[in-house]
Amino acid sequence: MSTVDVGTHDRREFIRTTSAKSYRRRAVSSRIFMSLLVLALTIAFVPLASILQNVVGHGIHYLTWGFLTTSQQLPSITNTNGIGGIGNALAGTAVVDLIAIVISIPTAILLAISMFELQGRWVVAVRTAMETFIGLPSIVFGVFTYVSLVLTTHQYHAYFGSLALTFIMVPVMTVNALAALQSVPDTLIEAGLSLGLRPSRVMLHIILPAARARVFTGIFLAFSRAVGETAPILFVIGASTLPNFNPGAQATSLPTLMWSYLTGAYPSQREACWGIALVLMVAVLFFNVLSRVFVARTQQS
Amino acid sequence: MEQVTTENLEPTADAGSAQAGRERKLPTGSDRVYRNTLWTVLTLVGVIVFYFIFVLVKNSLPGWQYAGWKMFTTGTWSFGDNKFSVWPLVLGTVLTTFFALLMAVPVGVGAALAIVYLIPRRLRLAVSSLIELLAVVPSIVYGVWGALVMAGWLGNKGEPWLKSVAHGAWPFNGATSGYGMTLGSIVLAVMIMPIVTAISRDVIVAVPKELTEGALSLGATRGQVIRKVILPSCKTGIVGAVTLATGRALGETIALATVLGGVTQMSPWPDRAFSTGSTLAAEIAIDFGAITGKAGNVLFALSLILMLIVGVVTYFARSIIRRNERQFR
Repeated sequence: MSTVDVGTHDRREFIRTTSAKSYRRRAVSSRIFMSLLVLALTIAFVPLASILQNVVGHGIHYLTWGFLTTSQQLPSITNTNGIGGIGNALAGTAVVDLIAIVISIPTAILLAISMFELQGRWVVAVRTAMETFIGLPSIVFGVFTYVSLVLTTHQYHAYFGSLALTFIMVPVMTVNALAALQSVPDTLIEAGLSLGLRPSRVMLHIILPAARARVFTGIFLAFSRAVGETAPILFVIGASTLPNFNPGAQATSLPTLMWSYLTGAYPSQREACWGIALVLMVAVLFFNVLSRVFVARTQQS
Repeated sequence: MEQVTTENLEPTADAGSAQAGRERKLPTGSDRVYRNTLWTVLTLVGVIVFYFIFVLVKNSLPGWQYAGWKMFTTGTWSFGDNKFSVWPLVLGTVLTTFFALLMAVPVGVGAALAIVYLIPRRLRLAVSSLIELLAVVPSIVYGVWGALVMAGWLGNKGEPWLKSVAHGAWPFNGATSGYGMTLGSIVLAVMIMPIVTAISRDVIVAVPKELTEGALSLGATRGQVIRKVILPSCKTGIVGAVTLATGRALGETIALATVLGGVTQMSPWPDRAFSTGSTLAAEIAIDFGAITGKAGNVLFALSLILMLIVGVVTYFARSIIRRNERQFR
């Protein structure tokens, strides 16, 4: 085209028309691409909507005082709908999770502090192990707890489940707490040290308070994950059809009750899964929202 | 009262140098209790990690001996009949993960792009929090949803429709029960999609504004900017996200145990889209209730295989994501 001798005016006209044509083509393909993105976002919401609709729709009429406080019952031939409640599972969940969190929080915070303060191969090795543990299938921890505790004692205890959950929670809490500690400005730490404070005082009075919000974020995040875990506790806590607050006894927790109802013989048991799912989701959401509140607080400060 | 000695002052000099705070050395001599406590905790946790690996290896040894080479030379897994071949489980794991990624990655990345570039800033946090809600739904709830909602829909409508569209050609042939590989892949896709979205979104937000503005000022359309500027510069981060999601998918247990239907002597291989199957992780959960003697050790061996695979994948995912984070700082 450049060989064709055209006047300046024609050349300008040529550029204008071709660029306009090219722009129109590019605008159309851009529009198509952007609508594909909208489509992706819409598709992403479909399963969420379906899950929430079913969990709330089927589960809401289970939310009665009787369902929450009475113990589970096996349906009989005369009363196939009589599945009782989830009082025993709520008690079991409370015991298992409470012990797990009491063990996990101090362990994780101390571990994060030692990774922050100390150096060496050992530190790197443990940190890599913790980061890898976050991604490991939770059933592996269930198998480990079964092998190391149930097989050696030949017994099932609620606190075995707590120990298994510790393996889920500690890595998440530790990695988050370590990131929190590292985000504290060096100048703050140096100021403390230059005043002659011992490192332990600096940690206790300067670093930890400054990192508090993000540490809590990790704690609640870990907890919201652990509450719904089924695989690690399924094989180690046994079962109990009565509410039991003794950690040394066997226990049924919400996820394990759901698992047994889901594989159960009665339709009423499967339907009750929605009720338990709703309770579980509320618990999980509560802790997740808490963690988000702390995230927001960190971003503000 | 603590005495101010040169040892106490040492860290100040150390931290005052050009070194970053992380390189700070604890002073030796002072604060011994603190230091010793920290070393004790670290050592204890390290010992527990080693004990964890040791126990799994030790207990799986009888399993290796019991199942022997048949684990790799035969083709049927049927726990009750003492038939231990890992291949149907490996195939189930690989297939469900692959098809889940095939569905979740385009949707996940597309949703992340839409959140960053199409949603008004005020709504951005709300929309992405809603999608990340999927990440905290317990896996047993996905199992309930898959078994009580999706299985019925797939068995009655979805799978017969696919079958008629494909005129019953492989792999869309045979009986349609709802449970099986198709349902497993869909449930898995829903579970890993939020991971892809959350990490991709963080990576996309971190792309320097100058890059996109430069491209726009050259006359590129928004679609071109996303395809030719943003996606290439986010490649490593998205690969990290996908690898992390792969690790999650490979190890998913309870949800898949409820929706996959299992492998038996009658239907040993997941060879059609609608056939039932099982994965390494799901099979451990399914068979655990029936373990006796040496057969149980085979399951421990399975969990060791699973842990190795997922551990390696996760380790690489973490290092990719960490490298990417450093790149943008």
